[in-house]
Amino acid sequence: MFKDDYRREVDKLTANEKFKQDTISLMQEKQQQLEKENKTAKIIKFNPRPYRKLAASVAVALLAVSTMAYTFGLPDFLIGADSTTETERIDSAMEQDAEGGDAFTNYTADASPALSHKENHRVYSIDDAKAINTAEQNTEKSKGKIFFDTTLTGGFGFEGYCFYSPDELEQNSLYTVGDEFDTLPVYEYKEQSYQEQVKLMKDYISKFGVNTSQIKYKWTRPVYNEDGIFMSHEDAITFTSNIPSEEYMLNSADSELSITYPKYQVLGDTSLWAYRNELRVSFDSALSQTDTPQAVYQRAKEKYPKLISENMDYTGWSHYNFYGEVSYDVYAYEKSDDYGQTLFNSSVNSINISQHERLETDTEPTTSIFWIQFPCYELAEYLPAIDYQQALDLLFNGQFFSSFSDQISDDTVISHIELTYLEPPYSLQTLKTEGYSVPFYKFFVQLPEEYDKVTEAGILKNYTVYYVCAIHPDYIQLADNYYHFN
Amino acid sequence: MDRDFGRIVNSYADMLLRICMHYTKNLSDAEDVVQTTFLRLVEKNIRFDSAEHEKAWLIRVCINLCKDNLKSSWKKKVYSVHDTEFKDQPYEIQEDSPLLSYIRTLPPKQRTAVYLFYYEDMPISRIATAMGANQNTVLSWLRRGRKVLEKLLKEEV
Repeated sequence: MFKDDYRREVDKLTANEKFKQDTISLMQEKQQQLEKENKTAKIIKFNPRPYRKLAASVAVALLAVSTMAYTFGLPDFLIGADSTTETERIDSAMEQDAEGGDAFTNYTADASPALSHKENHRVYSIDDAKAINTAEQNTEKSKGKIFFDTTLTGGFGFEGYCFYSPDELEQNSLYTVGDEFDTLPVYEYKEQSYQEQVKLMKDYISKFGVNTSQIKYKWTRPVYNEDGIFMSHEDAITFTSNIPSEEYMLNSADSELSITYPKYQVLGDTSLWAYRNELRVSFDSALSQTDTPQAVYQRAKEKYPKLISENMDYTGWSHYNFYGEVSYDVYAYEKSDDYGQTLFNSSVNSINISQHERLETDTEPTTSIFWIQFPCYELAEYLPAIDYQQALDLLFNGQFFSSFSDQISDDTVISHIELTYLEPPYSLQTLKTEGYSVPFYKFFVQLPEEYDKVTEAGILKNYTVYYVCAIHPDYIQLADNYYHFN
Repeated sequence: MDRDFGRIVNSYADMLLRICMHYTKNLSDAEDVVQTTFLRLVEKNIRFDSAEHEKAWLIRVCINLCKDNLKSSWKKKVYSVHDTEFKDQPYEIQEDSPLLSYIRTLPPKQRTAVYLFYYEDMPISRIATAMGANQNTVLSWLRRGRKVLEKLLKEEV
């Protein structure tokens, strides 16, 4: 009834013909304009001045530029291109400083000497970087490297803008600029058997105190047509007596326990969406109402000590809805003596305790959902890693990927650096789900103040992020869409 | 590159406009966002694997641009979390439907999830991809949205 009423009302909202024709005309004009500009390079710039931790290493960064040009075989012409224009822009920015009009005044209290950033501004062309990366891939040297694909549809494609509290960003960072390591581990995805999958799920369910012998489960095997194309519904193990379906999934959200193990799904008639094997356990449990992330974690630990063990730690994030109401996401992960393993656990092997958004209409305690995404990885090997300054150089050279849809502007700042693990793309037009989980530097670029979000809890800053692979380029090959903007 | 802009606009303009109307305050903003979404498609020159991929990309970019639009609204207006005027701002298309007015009281993410699930018949997995959330989060939005709507509809009766 709701659906029919809703559809009938929404049907009234349509784009009129004039609007459509105007839009088509605009698109045609835009295309003609782009064809005229054709080879115009996009410009990337970096201003280290407002970033306190980077400021102290300005001189080292300069040295690193020449070192990297040698180490990674980058031609000299990339460095320092268009310096005249850049100097003019910096002069302009400095004038703004004098007038107190700089949007980043609050972040320059203990920044580098006022003039030092001038000589550290460099401008690079993405097109140049593309040419180099392509040339590198075509050499014999690239053979045998670990391959990491950053396919647009791989789950990274649309990260877009991110709101964070700067304090939370600092507190939750396991990586500190200057951390030293020569190598970092790389993990390989491992396909599991049906028996292994069921055992894994039962183990986790029992940690919630649920008797698994009382739960029925159904295993739906994939069905292929004569051409070997996957044709069946979602292939899943689900611990219920129902056949898994979208409607079932919706209804199951009302139950206390929902466990699915999705593998493949059909999109439309021709498109296939392949998932990795991963365990998803949703377990509703009203833990808290208005607690802090720390309180959410402590209550979860007290209530489910088998799930949240003593050897675990957490990161906690606040989320604000449109009205400024707050909820929390807590990620519990196992600590390890190995630096890279701890990073991997916090990035990939974590248990997410996610609270519902609170609404003004809420009268009940906020419900928390445990979401366990348990990808199956094995340690592949330790590979030589680059430090953040080398990663910065690659960033300057366009050797990154990002979902940010606009170019970096004159007043761009890098305000935070993380080291995190990314998983291989899993939504390919194939049934292959193998791949490596690889460490990446994650550069947070803060947008101007006008993008801030004001909430009752304080000001959230708006960032976009850029990823640079932390493994030395001699040991890893990245897809040719590494620098893909969407 | 020759693209069939007519096909693309005629296929997706209504859908994108409806998504925008679930996010933005008025038809004018919604139309701006829809046109910007299509122009972004021209700029990026992306080749899609399938119609589904094309649709998912457009939805995702459109939602991101809607968020941008909201951000500029925050800037223009000194935002208060208790600003009921902002929350209840009617669309320029005047509707008497209580159902739509109730839906507009939901947070934007819940509104959009409700639209994609109940109107576009999109599977939860694809809504999750389009909205940049995991499936359980989408389920949570739908569940929450339904509960609020049920309560409001009961109160009306």
